[in-house]
Amino acid sequence: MSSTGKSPWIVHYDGSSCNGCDIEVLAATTPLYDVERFGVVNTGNPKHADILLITGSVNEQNVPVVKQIYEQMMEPKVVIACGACACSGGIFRDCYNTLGGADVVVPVDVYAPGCAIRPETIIDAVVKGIEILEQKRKALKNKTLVEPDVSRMQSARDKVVDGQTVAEIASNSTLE
Amino acid sequence: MSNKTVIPFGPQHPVLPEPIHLDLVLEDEKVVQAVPQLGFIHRGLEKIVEKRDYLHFVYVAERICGICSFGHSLGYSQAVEGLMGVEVPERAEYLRDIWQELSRIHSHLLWLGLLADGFGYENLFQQAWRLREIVLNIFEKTTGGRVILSVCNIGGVNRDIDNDELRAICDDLDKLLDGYKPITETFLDDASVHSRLDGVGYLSKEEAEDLSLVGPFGRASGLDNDIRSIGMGAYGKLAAFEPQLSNIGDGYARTEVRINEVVQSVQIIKELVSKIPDGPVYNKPKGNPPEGRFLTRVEQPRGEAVYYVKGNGSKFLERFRVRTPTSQNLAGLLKILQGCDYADVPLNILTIDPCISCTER
Amino acid sequence: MGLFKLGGVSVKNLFSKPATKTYPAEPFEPYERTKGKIVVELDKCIFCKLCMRGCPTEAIDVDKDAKLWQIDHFLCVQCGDCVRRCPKSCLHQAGMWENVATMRQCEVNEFAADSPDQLVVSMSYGQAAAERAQKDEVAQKRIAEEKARKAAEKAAKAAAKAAAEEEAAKAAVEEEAAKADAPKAEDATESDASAAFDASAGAAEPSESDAPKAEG
Repeated sequence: MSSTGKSPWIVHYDGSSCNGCDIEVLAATTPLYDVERFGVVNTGNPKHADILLITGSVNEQNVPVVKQIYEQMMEPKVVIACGACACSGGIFRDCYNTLGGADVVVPVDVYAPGCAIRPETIIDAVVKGIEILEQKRKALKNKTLVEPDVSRMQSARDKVVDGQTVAEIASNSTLE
Repeated sequence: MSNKTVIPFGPQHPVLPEPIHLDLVLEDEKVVQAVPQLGFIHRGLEKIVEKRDYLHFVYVAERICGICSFGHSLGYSQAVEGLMGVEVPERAEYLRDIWQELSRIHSHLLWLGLLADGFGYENLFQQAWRLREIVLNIFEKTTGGRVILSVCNIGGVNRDIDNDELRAICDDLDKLLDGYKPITETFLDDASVHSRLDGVGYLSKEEAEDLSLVGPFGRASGLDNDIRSIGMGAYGKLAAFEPQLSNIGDGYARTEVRINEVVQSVQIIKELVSKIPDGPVYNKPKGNPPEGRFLTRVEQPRGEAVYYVKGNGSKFLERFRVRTPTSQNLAGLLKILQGCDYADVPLNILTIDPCISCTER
Repeated sequence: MGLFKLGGVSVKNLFSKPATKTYPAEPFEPYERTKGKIVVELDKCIFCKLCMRGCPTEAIDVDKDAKLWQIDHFLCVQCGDCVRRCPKSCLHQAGMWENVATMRQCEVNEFAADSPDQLVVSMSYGQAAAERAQKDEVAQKRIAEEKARKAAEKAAKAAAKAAAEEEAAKAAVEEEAAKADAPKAEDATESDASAAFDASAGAAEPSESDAPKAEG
């Protein structure tokens, strides 16, 4: 395993969540669960990070922010959707402002369920993410590109919210 | 002549747990004005009260915020119970208040840790959150969940705690207080902490009253605004209750008020455990669906929260409105950001204990 | 005011046992009431759909005809409402472990035709939706045929009743006419009765021939 796999750095962003999953992500770095034993460091800079932990059912205003963070990360990178809201929209699926999970905006590699997610599940998800990161790193070395799985993105983007499809909302929204 | 620069702060920032955007207008490292932009967490959940049965909406209400989760389910249940005239058994009221005080302890310990991380003292952050795990352990043993409890319901509570377990909880809280002492000494007496917190974000009592601040933010400037003094629920059975006040009005005072509230909460829990009566814990609500309007208040860890419900006789409520404490305190935040140093901005934001997901629902 | 107040705690921590739960080396040990994923015992389930109605996220799907109980674990918020409502107590939540996955799936529980044991299948969304739609189609067709057959029977009965009433009315009228001419009346009623019987048989035939047309 390369050094990236032995010490993945994470960046965490709260994409319209209730905070429950975010404090469990922070609690995973505290003495009881301590992911720093695996070399994981919680950094604030997306350009330093390998793994993006997204929580929350993304709302319209957050779409350009999440896209910017994803685009700033260096290849190879892995996105983990933590919690029921990030996987599918959760209990807020019917709200007028939510788009229905993180996989509408960025291609997600690992889905981790729970409400709020347990720190042990986060550790499982990061371990699975490291395996995928290794595959991507080897593919990059061999100059073969691993296409991200955008099938869920395509089907979710046809959902209509207030007369516009999600695809239109995502392409029109910009930070003012 | 000094030039003005505008620097954007957030929504993604290492020190902030939640997304909030501020445009800081700076003049040579001093902040002159702060222009906020909210709306990154707005999910519109007050509107789905029209699509979810009033009995199931309690699960949506407790996910307004993960830190003050139990308080929101308590406020919603109290509001609908008042509207329908449902009688809550006495043991359920005591259990609800025990869980609410545990929620206050865990929220203040979380805040102490984030404040320490905010001024760069990572060891203190880890120690505070290590103590917080004792409270989360109690939550998991009694309700099943660490953060979202799903235990408060219209008509009472879903689970009972038997009296032996209650005594074991009191022993665990004594262990927490033993570990808590060195942390409080560090926060209140350490020279490096004093230099970061003294004089930061000062508000006098008149300014606090003008802005109608709630919670420990207002109590640090001398305002007496604790809803627990009214005596709703089991709080009325306490022998004496005095809110923790301070006259100093800066970041140090806010830290002191919250530290003292943790100790006070442990004492309240012990008193409630000694007085709790036996009996049922759930009274199924019968009769017609709710009709009319009702308003109730709960003392959340961050201040006073107001819950308003309106029903029209069908099983879907017509309106549900929450006025959360942070939305009231945001005006105070903008006031204390004026004139502060640029490096103190995260600290000032953290001293009001912001809960943006409560504010934006 | 002092300096380095946390020094005592730090030095003590150097020499005491670490506070960490070394998951995944140490297995996950839940408490008695710890929330987890929802698991069903299908042999006790009566497909009453109470759990489906109570779910605040609509994660559960129950099909009585196909004897299916389906749940989407990535939508479930583990509130425990279904566990409390189930009249047969066949849902369990306490201490069950949630798995992570690289693809969103829903869990479908059904009894397989050739084995009496509960069969648990994890399918991706598209696949599960397609299979359900197919099962729905077959079930819908069967229900439509039943309905048509019942409708045809009812129509036949109604037609026969109407014809019989007509004949009874005719017979009553002719009886009165026959009472006026008594000797002729006996032959007339007999032939009329046989004619009425033939007429009703004739009336039944067209309705029977109508029925296959409706079904086909």
